[in-house]
Amino acid sequence: MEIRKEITARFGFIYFAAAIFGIVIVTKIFMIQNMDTEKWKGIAKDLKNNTTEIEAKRGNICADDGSILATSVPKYELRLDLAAPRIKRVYDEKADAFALEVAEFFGISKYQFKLKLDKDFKKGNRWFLIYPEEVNYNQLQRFKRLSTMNRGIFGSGLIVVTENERVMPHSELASRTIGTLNKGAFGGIHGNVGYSGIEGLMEGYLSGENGKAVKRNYSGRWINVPIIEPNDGSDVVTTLNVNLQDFANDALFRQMETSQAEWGTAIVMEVKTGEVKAIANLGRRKDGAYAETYNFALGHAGCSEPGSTFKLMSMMVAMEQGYVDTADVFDTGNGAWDYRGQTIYDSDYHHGGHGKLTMKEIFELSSNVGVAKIITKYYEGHEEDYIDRIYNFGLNKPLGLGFAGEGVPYIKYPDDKVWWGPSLAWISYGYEIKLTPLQTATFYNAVANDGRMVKPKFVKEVRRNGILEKEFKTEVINPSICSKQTLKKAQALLEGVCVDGTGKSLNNPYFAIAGKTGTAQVAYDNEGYSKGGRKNYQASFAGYFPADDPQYTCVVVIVGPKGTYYGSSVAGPVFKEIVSKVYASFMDPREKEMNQVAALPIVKAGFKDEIEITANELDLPIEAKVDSKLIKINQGAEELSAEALAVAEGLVPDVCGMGGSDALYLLENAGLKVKMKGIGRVKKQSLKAGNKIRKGQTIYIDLG
Amino acid sequence: MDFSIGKILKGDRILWVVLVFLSLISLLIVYSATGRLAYREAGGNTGYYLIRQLVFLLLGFGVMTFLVNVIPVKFYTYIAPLLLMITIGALLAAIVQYKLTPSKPTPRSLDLGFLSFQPAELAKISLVMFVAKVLAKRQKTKEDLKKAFLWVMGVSGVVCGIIFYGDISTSALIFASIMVLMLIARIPLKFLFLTFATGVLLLLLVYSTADYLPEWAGRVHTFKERIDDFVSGDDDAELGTTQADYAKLAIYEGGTFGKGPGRSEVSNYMEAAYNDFIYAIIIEEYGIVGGFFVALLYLILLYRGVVIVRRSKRTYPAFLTAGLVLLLVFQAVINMAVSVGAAPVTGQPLPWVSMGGTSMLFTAVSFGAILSVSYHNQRKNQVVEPPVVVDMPDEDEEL
Repeated sequence: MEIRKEITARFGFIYFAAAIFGIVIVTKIFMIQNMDTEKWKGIAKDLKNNTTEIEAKRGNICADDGSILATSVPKYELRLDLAAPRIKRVYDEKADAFALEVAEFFGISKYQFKLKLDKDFKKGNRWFLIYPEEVNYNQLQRFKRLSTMNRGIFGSGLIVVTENERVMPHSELASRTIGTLNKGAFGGIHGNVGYSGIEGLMEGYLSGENGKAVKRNYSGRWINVPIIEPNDGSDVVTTLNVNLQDFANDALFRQMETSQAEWGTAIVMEVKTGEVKAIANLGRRKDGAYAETYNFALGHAGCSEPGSTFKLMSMMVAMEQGYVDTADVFDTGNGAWDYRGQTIYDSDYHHGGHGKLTMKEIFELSSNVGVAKIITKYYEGHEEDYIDRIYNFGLNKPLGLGFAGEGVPYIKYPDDKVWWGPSLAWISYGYEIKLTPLQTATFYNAVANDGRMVKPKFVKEVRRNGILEKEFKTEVINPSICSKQTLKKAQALLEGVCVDGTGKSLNNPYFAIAGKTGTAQVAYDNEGYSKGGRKNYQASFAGYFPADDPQYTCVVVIVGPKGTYYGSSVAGPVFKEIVSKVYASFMDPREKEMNQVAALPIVKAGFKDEIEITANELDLPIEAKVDSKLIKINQGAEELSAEALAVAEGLVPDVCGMGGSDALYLLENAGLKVKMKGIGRVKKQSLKAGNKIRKGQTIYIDLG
Repeated sequence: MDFSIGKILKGDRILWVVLVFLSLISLLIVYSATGRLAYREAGGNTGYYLIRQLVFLLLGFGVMTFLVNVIPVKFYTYIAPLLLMITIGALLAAIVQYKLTPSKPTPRSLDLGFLSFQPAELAKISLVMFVAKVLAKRQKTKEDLKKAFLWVMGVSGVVCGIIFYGDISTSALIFASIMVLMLIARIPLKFLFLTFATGVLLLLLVYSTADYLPEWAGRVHTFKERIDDFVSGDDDAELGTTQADYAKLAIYEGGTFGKGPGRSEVSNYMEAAYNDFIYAIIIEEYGIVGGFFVALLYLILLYRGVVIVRRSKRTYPAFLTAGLVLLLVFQAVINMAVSVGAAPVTGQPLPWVSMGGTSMLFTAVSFGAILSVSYHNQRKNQVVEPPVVVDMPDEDEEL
C-alpha cells in the first residue's frame, strides 16, 4: 500500500509540473499574439511580396513540318551573396580553396579570381558574378558538387539565376522573319519578350504565363517553392519550309557573292493558300559578310521603287478599262521619248530601239517608252482614273501582317503636291512609287491564283504539346482583282516574257514559267538617283510556276549589284535555281510514287510525357511503363514498346532517331553547341555517342 | 458475444474520447496543411493525404481494439526482452543500411523492402516495457532499487546511445521519459540527480566540441546549429523568414478563435506544416482557444495516466502505463513548445495528430497497452473471473 501511495504522489507531482508547462505554452501563445506584433505584421506583409516569378518556357517556333526553327534552352548564371553569414564566418579559411576550385572549374586564373573575390568580399557584394558566362544544366549540377559549394561554406550564398536562351538550330535560316526577343520588364541578358518577326507577332501564344514562387527556408537552405506553376507557351507552326528556305537562301547567297550587291531578298509563296514557304533576306554585316541583317522582304527599308515588275499592274489597268489589247501596236521609236521635259529611255536605247511593237511585245521586251506611251495616251487628263484602279488593287495600303516595322507603300495621287508633269509616265513603269517586295509577290500571286488576292500567311497553327490549339485560315484581300478576260491576257503576257522576252533564259523543258523581269535605277539613301556619277540598280524578278497550273509564286529582288544589273541576269538566275529545286523536290511526278504508308507510324525517342500525350491523341498502343524522363521507342511490327533512355553526364548522348527538338534540348544541356541540317528525325551526328564532351564543342546533326 | 461499441472499446472511456477528439483534429488539420505537399507529390490531389491519414487512424483504432480485447497485460512482460533485442537489431541495421546505401537520406528509418519504419518508434515501446519490468521486479528494498537503477541506466544508455547517432532529440526525449519513470518508480533522487547532471554535462560537451568534430558526426552539427539559432536567432533570418518565424506568424494570425477550418495561409510557406509545426497551424485555424483545447486533451491524457496508475493492483501495469503516457505527453509538449518558440527546433510530431505513416501504428500500440491496463483494472474491481488464456506466473509486486 505504501508503494502505491508513493508512486501516485510522484506521478501526481509530474502531472502538476506538466500542467504548469501547459500554462507556459498558452501564455507564450498569448504573448506572441499580443506582444511585439509589429514584427509579425511586417512578415505577413513581406509574404505577399516575397514571391518571385518563375519564367514560363517560351513556345517553339516550328517549320511547316514541325521541325524547330527557334526554341528556348535554359541557361544559368552563377552569383554569390558574399554577405551571407556563413561565408563571412569561414571566408579567411576557405576562400583560397574556393578560388582554386572555381578557377579549375572554369579554366581561369586562380590569382585573378581571388583578387576580384577579395575585393568584392570587402565591399560586401551580395550579387557577385562568379563567371561571366552562363552555364548549362549539367555544369550547374557539377558546380554545386564542388567541395566548397557545401551549404555550410560558400554554397550558403550561391544564387542561381535561370535564363532561357533562344536558340535557332538552323542558324541563319529566315532568322529575321522568325524574329528577335526584347528584354521586357523582367528580361535578363537574352531578353524574353518577342519583339520583331514571328516572335513578336505571336508573342501572346509563345510567351505562356509566368508562375509564382515563394522563397522558403527548408532545413537551412533557401529554395523557391512554386505556388503557381508556370504555364508554358504554345508552339507556333509557321508556313516556312526548311528545304525551300534552304534553297532560297543558298541561291540568293551565291548571287549576292557574285554580284557583290547591297542587299537582296527572295520570297516563295504557295499560290492557293498564300503561305510563305521561304523568305530569305541578305544584307551586308559590318564585317562585309552577307547575313540576315534585316527583313527587306517586308520591312520599310526594303520598300522601294519596283521598276518594271510594276508594268504588269499598269497593263492590267489599261486592259481592264478596255483601252488596249495585247495586239494593239505602238511606236517605241528609237528607244527614247521626250515627255513633258523628261526623256524616257528603253534599256536598249543605244542599240537603236525597236520601232513599232504590239503591246504584248512591249511587255515582253519591257519597253519603258511603250508602257509610258500607252498609259499617257489613255490617262492624260484623267490620271486619277489610273491611280484609283491601282489603289483598287490594294497596293497603296500595307498588307497588315502585324509584324513590327512593316513597310508602308507609297503611291502618289494626282492632287498631291509632289505630283508633277511627267509623274504619270514614270509611275506607269514603276518609278516614283514604293512597294515592298512582299507586296509585289502578293499581287503576282493573285494573278497566278485566278484573280483571287490572298494575304501572305506566315503562321499556320498554334499547337500545345503537339495538340492543335488554333488554326489560321487564309485571308482573302480581294476575291477578284479583275475580269476573267484581263486575267487570262495578263497570264499570257507573263508567260510570253519567259518564252520570247527578257525572261527567255528561264525557259526549261520540264515546266513553264510566267514572270516579269525588273531593272530599276534606285536612289542611294537620300542621295538621288546617282552618286558620284555611279548609278545604283535594283534587279528583280517576279513570277510563278508552273504557268499552266500555278503552285508557287516567287519574287527575287537584289539591290546594288556591281557589274551587270539587269533583272534577267541578276535576279533571274536566283529565281530559276529556286524553282528548279522546288520542282525537283516537291513537284516532280517521279518523287510522289516513292512515298509509302507504314502500318505503324515511326515514333521518335524523346520526352516521355510528350510522347504519351501524342500517343494518346492518336490511340497508339505505346506501353510507356518506364520510370524515366526520356524514353526510346522500340519499333515492333505490331506494337511499340518504350525503353528508358540513359544519358550519361559529360558524354555525348546518342540522339539518333530522336526528333529535332528533343535532340537539341539534350545536346544543348550536355554543353554542346548544335548545328542542325534538314528536317525530321536525327539521321547522323558528328560526334560519336559516348565520347567525352569538350567545353564549347560543336556538334552537327543531320535530320532526314 | 456482445459486439456493441461499448463492449469492444474496452478500458478507460475518457481516454477513448480524447483519442476520438485528437483523430478529428488530425484529419481537419492534415487536410488543410498538406495543400502544398499534395501539389508537389500527389499531382494536386488534395484528398490524397486526408484519405491516407484516415486509413492510418482507422488502422490504429483497429490495433488498439485488438490489443485491449485480446492481449493480456502480463504478455508484455514476457515479450519485453525479445522486443528489446529486436529493437537494438533494427536500430543497428538502419545505421548499417544508411552507411551502405548512399541514396538513403537518413539513418532514422529502416527499409525492409515491403515497408519502412523508424526503429526509434519501436524503441520507445520496447524500452518502456523492459524498463517497467526491471523496475516492477525490484521494489522491496533499497538494494533492489539501486540494482534496478543500474539495470535501467545500462539498457536505456545503449538504446538511446544508438538513437543519438541519427536523432538527438528523440534520444533525449526517450531518455528523459525513462528518467521521469524512474522518479515515479521510487528510485532515490540522488541517483537521478547525478544522472541528470552527467547528461547535461555530456550535452554541453557535445555542443562545445561540435565545431571540431569531423563531417561524419552529421547530426551533431545540426544539433549545435539549432541551439545557436534558438539562442541567438537564425543567421539566415537576415535573408528571409525561418520556419520558426512562420510558426509564430501562424500563431499571431490565429488570434482568439482562428481563421476557421482550412483557412490556414501560412502553412503554404512552411515545409513541415503538417508535422513538426502542426500545433502552430492548429492555432492559426482555431485560435488560442483551439490551442488551449489541444493542450488540455494531452493534459487529460496525462491525468488519466495518473488515474490508471492509482487504480493498478500491481507494479508492472502501473509503470508500463506511466512510461508510455509520459513518452506521449512529453512528445506533445516538445512539439507545442517548438511551435510557440519555447524550445529549439526539433522534428517531434504531435502524437496522434501530426501526419504519419507506420509511426501512427506504434503510437496506437502505446495507447492499446495503456487501455489494456485500464481495462484490466476495471475487471479486477468488478471481481469478474478473467478468461485466462495461459497461466503465467507474476514477476512483479502487488500494490
